[in-house]
Amino acid sequence: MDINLLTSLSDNIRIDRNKCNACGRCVEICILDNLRLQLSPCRQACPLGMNCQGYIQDLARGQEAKGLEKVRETIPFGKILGRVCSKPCEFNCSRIKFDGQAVAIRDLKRYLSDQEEEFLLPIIVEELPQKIAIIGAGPAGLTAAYYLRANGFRVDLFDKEAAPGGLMRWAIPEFRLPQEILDKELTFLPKMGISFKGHKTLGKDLELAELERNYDSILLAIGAQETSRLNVPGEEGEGILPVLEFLKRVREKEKLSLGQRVLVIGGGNAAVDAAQTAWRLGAQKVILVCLEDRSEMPAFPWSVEEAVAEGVELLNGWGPWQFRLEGKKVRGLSLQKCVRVFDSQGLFAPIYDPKTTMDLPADTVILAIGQKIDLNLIPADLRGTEGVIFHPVTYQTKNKKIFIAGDFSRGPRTIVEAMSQGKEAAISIKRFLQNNDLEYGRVNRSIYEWEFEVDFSKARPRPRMPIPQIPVEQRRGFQEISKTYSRAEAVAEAERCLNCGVPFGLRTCWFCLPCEIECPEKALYVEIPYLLR
Amino acid sequence: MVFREVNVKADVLIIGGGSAGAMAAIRAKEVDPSQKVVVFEKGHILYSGCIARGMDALNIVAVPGVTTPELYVESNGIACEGIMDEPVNYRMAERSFAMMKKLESWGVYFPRDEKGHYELLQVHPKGKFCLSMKEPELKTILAKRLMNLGGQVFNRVMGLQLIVEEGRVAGAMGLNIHTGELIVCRAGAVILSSGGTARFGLPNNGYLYGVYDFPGNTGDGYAMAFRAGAELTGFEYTLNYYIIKDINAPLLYITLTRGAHLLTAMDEHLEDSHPSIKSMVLEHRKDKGPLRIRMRHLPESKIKEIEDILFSTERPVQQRFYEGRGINFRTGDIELWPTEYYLCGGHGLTGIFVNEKAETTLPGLYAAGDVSLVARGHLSGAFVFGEIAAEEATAFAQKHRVKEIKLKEVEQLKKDLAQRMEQKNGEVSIEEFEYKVRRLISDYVTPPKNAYKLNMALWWMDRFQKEIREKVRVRHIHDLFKMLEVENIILCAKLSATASLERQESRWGFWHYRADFPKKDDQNWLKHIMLKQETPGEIKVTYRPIIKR
Repeated sequence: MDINLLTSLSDNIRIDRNKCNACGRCVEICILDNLRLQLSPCRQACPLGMNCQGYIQDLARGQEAKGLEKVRETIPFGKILGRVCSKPCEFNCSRIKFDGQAVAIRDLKRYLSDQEEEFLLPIIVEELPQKIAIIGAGPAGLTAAYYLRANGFRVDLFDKEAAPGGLMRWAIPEFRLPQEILDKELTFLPKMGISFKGHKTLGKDLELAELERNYDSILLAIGAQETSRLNVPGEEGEGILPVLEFLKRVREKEKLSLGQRVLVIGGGNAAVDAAQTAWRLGAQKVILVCLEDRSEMPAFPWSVEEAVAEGVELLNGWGPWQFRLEGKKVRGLSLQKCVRVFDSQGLFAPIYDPKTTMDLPADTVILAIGQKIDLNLIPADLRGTEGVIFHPVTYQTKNKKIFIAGDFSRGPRTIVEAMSQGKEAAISIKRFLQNNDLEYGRVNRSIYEWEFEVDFSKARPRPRMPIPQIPVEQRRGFQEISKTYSRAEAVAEAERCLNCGVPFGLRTCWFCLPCEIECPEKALYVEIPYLLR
Repeated sequence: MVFREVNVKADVLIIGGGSAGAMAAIRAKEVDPSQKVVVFEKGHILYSGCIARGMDALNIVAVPGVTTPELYVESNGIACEGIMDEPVNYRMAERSFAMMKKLESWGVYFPRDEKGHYELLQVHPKGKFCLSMKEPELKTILAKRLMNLGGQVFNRVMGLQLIVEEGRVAGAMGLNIHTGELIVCRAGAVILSSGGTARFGLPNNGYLYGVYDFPGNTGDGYAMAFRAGAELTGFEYTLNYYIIKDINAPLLYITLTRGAHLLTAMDEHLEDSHPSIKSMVLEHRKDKGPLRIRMRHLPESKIKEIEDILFSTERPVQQRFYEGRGINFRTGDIELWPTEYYLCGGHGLTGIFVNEKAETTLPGLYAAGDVSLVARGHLSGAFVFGEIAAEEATAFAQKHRVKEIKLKEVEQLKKDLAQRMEQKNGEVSIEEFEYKVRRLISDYVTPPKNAYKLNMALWWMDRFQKEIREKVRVRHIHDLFKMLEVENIILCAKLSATASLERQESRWGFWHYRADFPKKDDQNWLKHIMLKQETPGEIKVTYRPIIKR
């Protein structure tokens, strides 16, 4: 601990921890740079920088409306993220250190967001003349469209599909994200005057050069569209489906006959989604085959757990070697034992034992081995060896007019990351169009303290409130698995929050009071420093 | 740390978004809504400067039919003991009433009696110029107005260096004290409005920030102007106030003008002799202190009225102070004491030299508020000269287009900042260092002065200028920004000691009391002492005659 002349003095900034929810307004407003905020671990982990601590404390204190506002201030899509966020916040939650179970941060966000019936539209203060084309109506494109339009720009949103939503509509199964919820969240598009133009594929219906002529700025948020291939014999056989095609056909309500035995190849979220979907479509046996151990699987552990509970079988540590076809139709798959998935550097470099093999019969095989960015969609001068070249903070490409966001930037990631990138890209586009520095003030925010000791003294053991779910035996349809907490459940869970983050003073206070006046919770009191008292 | 360069262009750049700067920004947008107005603000525009919680009076308003600008010039000339340029002060008084009416039209509250007359108090030698105001939201009103008009504010940006090209000031460089970004703003004209030097002498309470004037003011504007070659003046006017002991918050005129008594420690009454801060400091020097304010004889309605102002406006925190000490105006006295010494153009005479057009001696550079010399102009001076500076700067900027050129100074500044960041393992924290600097300022720069002490001050300040680059620990951007502030404080002390050595007489009560020249000498010293940098690191002293109307 660094003690100097000032830090050895007592701190005259009094924080009522029962009221403060670490919003940081006091720190922003202090005219002497006297305040700092210990940033709660949940907020540190969130790609959107959401003040999770804040909305949970609001909830615990019976101030739901305020909590909802905090979610909305950060992202308008609380109902979506409340259901399908990868919840990095929970992995970082201090409560894990106390009793091993994170606060159910995501489901509390879901609870708050579900209290709102209609999507609350922002007020567009002024109409601006500039036109922006956003290509791709997934989480990144939608988020950017919302913020750019909210700022008054004219936004055209293109997508190759008939309806907006991207993977949230065409891949994520309805038992995780019901269409009704998604549709409700997307009502903002027509209501805010964002023109959605479907069936527009980049490179086919849309040419970048022409877009450049017609628009002031362009955001490419086209995702990672190219499906990886196994490159094993028989891969072209009938009944072998790429996962996104499979999930999309299901979302399009196509009647698929999968047969009795379905194999899903892959260990990621799409594979688990596909396995659970196949189970719901009536397959007798669904086996998910992947190279990784269960603990190494990239899929969310809670999804894997759900799938297993429903009846999906896991076959970990095996890799496809060749398909067995009868005529053109797939009948089975030969597997080899995988002895190692990652090399010493952690890179994907599987090694197989050709002597240990296994044959599995199959009527349908779903390939969920990953997606890649299709670099052919953009001009060579914007690409490097690894992908599109872009600024890591502003998402601007080498063509100053063109920005990117979402899976198209760094390959498949999470929805919350895509939304965060969409939001950041929107900030950049606004600055670009208004001739301001794109990067200014967006890094090195020294007002936050990232490492600090959490006060566990008031914590009491209390198990995590189980998230209500429909019983496993009822999960043969596409009804949403998880339910929203009741108010009592939500409040009880919110009360588990340790309220980690808190502001403090640097002993350079002039007791001029703006911090106290601006505190929305009236949680801050400026005491006269002891030396003067 | 990389000091990333951020390029910004402006027609008018304003450095310091306090009272004068905010008013200048508003005026610049009023005069020409299409021009780009940029504000560098070290704190946060919504509250920054001396008036975070507003002010209880507009100190100088020449209300038509009551007083005149001529009377004000006469009155202030007496208070300044002759060291005052009349045209500047006349212009300020002349525009003061319109300024007040303008503020009123923006929603600033100026109480009136039942006949609709403004409340005017006499705090000057002649005439009632002090017009009561009761507006805690004064600064937020200004800040919101300037933002609504489209002024672009860079909060947390400390002005570091003016850009001088072809003999004119053409912009400035500033450091974002949170991100470390270096803003290079090229501008048609620049207005300095970054306050005086409030963190100068050490306050008796021992708390570095427990000073009377806003402690964010560390002479940044004086230092920038000096280094760019502008002429400064009045640095021998080392000022202190005589206000509430320990907390160093003001209350004097609010109470005295409403019938409070002023007593010496021996219970002599002073309230009838029109006591001024200057005279109270002298009483204290005569061992009559601590002087006390007594209100127990006042009717409850009067006490309530006083409390109502004191506990809502300017420094409302004093209510907590009294509660903590168990002081009740109805029974107890309020002890007064001299504050630390500081430099200020608005309360005193220290500032960048300006004429009645707010022009400094450098083309393209304007100054307003406490950083400039509009002698004892207080808030009225800041507002009126904020407006004048904006009008003149706008006209100048229209004639001088913003140029786009690569500056070698930018690279030099980046290198300099990077070098400072290398002092990670310095033995002394910046706070410890600041403590010693200010302790020695109190010892050697402030009165009673003599040549020996002032020379010692110069010796110490030279030493501190070296030590700050050797011994001070810079762990992060916050330390760096405090270091830059303290460096400006040291320079101000050097300027002050130099000017004080030069003025071989005593003037302004105790504030420039030279024990080796204890008499006032109008024969020789009725003139400004001007300071200027011609060669880096050297202070050139010249004189300038007092200008009469």
